[in-house]
Amino acid sequence: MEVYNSEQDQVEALKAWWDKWGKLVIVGIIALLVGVFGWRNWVDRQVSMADAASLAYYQMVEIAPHDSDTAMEIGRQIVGEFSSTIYARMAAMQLARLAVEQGQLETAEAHLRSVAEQRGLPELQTVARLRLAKVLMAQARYAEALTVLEHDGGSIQAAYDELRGDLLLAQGDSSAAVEAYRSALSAMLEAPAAASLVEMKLADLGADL
Amino acid sequence: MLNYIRSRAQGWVAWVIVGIITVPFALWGIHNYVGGGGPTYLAKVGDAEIGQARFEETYQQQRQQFMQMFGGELPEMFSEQMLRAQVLEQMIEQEVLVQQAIEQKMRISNRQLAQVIRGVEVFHDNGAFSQERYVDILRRQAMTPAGFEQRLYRDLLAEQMESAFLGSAFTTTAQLDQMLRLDLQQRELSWLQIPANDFIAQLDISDAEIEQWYQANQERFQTPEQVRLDYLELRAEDFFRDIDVDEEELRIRYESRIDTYRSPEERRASHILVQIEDSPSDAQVRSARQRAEQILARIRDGEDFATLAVEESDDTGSAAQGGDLGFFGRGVMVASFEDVAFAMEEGQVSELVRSPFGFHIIRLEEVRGGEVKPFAELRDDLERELRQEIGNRRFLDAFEELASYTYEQPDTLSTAAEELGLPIQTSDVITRQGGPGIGSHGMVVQAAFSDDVLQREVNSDPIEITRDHVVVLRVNEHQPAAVRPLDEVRDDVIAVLQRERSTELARELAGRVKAAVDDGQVAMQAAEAFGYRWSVPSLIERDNRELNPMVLDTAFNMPRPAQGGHAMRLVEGNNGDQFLIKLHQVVDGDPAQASEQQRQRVEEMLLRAEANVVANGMLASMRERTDITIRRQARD
Repeated sequence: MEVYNSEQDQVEALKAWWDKWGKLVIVGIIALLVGVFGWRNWVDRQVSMADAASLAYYQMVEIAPHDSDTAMEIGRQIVGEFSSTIYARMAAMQLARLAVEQGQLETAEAHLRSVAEQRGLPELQTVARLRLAKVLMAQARYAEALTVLEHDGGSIQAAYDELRGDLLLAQGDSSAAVEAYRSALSAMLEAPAAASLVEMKLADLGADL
Repeated sequence: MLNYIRSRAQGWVAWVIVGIITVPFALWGIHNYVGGGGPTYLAKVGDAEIGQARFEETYQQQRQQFMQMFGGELPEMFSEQMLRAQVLEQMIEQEVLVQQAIEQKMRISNRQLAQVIRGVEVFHDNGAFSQERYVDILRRQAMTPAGFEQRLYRDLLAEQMESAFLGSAFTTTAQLDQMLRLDLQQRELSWLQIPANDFIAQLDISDAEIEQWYQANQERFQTPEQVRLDYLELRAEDFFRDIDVDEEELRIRYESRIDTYRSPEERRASHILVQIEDSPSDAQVRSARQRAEQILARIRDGEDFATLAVEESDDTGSAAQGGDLGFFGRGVMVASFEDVAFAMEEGQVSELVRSPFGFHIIRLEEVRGGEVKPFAELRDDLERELRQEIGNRRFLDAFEELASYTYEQPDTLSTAAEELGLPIQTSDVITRQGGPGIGSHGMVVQAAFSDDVLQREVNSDPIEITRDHVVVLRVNEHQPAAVRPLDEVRDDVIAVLQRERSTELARELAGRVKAAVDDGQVAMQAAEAFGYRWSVPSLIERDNRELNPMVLDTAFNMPRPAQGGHAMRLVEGNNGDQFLIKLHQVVDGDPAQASEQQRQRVEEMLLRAEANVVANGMLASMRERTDITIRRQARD
């Protein structure tokens, strides 16, 4: 620490320091304030966005059985305006269903692809891929559907396998289909409603269970 | 001002109440330490605990709903234990869903909550949401709006999460058509049945064979270990008959509790206050007293109390009401005020009353409460209570006597039977799996086959089947596991051998017919050559209910025959009958021909199947990402 001869010197030193650093200090303080407010603002915005998205999603689901056009309109808004929230993906799942019901397979495909590609909730991705493969199958794009199902099906691998069986059968490869169905059936012990359908498919191919 | 008196007095009362409440809490805390503590939750999901209380509440609700579904009773196939385990499982699942939703930053805004609540019809009154009705209904369910809204918040989150997976399911036309082709498929088939019984007459089964088979299959003729029990039985209900209740005793009971039958007395008074400051000087007190005496004198001279209160009282709060303080019970007002107010007659005006606040002139307006319920009204309750006590005591005395006699004389029940005037009863035969009557209680079976009772042949300890039903038992007769002698089971052995041999013969014949058909002979002729008839081919649907289910099942499990050819399979029924089934052709269902109803049914089938896999899978996978500890089984 320097030793000052008089108060005058001290004041001078402070002045000099201020001339040198003052602007930086002020800029720093402002930056800090802006940062804090910005952060809080951002958090608030996220919360109010989630609130609004949730309400819109709720309305979409409620109205869908009565008026699917309005439901789709709301769904597209959610996807557009709240794309950073999970509600965008949830709405896309619903949009895909509504699109399939109206025969718009390409639209459904696009929605399902967007969900399948976004990380966040892995289970939702896995289910979106299953449905995507279904939509591709409905367009007779069997090879593409099979490629989608090469992803790990995780805890719904049984459903992946069953659909692979359907696709292989559609391609004419009944022995590979039997293998796929068998592997599906072996994982459906706790899903009797699903197992009985796979059993029927296997039986139709004359294969033992 | 008087409000201030009240709040002070109430403050004092409040402290007493707080004190009273604190004691059990303090003791409860101690009990927890003494009892060894340990975790009080049933399951822990992430950081959230599912506690005993929340579980019990949910369980009772679910149980109620479940019982309503089955007409007020829990069906036998569902044990409480299973139900408990299931409810806990559901609660864990919901907690997992909620936590995942929160992690995904899902939210339910207050506005949305309000919208949902307003839409619930139970809360409507005259077709619109009624706040009063809402609060009222919740209160009857012992819930606060905040508690209910918290619960609803979680329900809605879980529901949203679920809807993204399950509500978004669809079926495509391709899938639907594929399934319709299968489901509406018809198969053309014909078959031959060769009954095994046809061959029984030609069988000749020798004694040597019977003996040999009996020796080789002894385990089939084992009888399990059995006991027959003697027992004494006490039922609480028997001790509630013939109780004489002494009228005098009822009176004594009534008198001793008379205070609890008195409704609390409340009084309504008006007052005029001449206020004194805190720590007043003598002069101030004197002048206040003078002023108060003047007011009192004016009242005695006939001036209106209420008017004077308005003009003169320093308690501005009550002055506006003509001094009226409304009803109050004991322990509300300061002591000096209360003593006077509760000693006055209605309409009377008091002398000056000194309190910390100053001088009061009190007029008593009205008295209510303080009545004692008359004996006649309470007599029946008292009698019921007394009967209950006497009956319980008698039952417990008998229980103790039973326990001591059967313990002191462990080789017989007769002493206890004589002393207690109970009949010695004898049970049906009971195995380790139980039996009829008292054998249906697990505890009884366990005791009957215990070392003490079975080996040492002593009386059992008293067994409390329920709190109101006690038995002591001993073995009357014991039969160890044994093999039934051949004479007893000869017919059974013959029947088994006949079934085996006749089935063999039928199978052999069926094989010969099959070989002939495989060689190119016409099926009908091949059958006829052995004296049987092959059926005429017909188209059969998958859900046919007339055909033998085994034939139907086999036919729909056979590989498709080549064009113009056929497939054939030989199957055996449970009774040994042989079925030769010939599949001529498979006709797939035509989706274009399917009725709307059929399409709908198949669509539902497909959706249900997918939901089945997706719901299980989604939960299983989310659970895997969550730390879940199930601390104690829900059953204890």
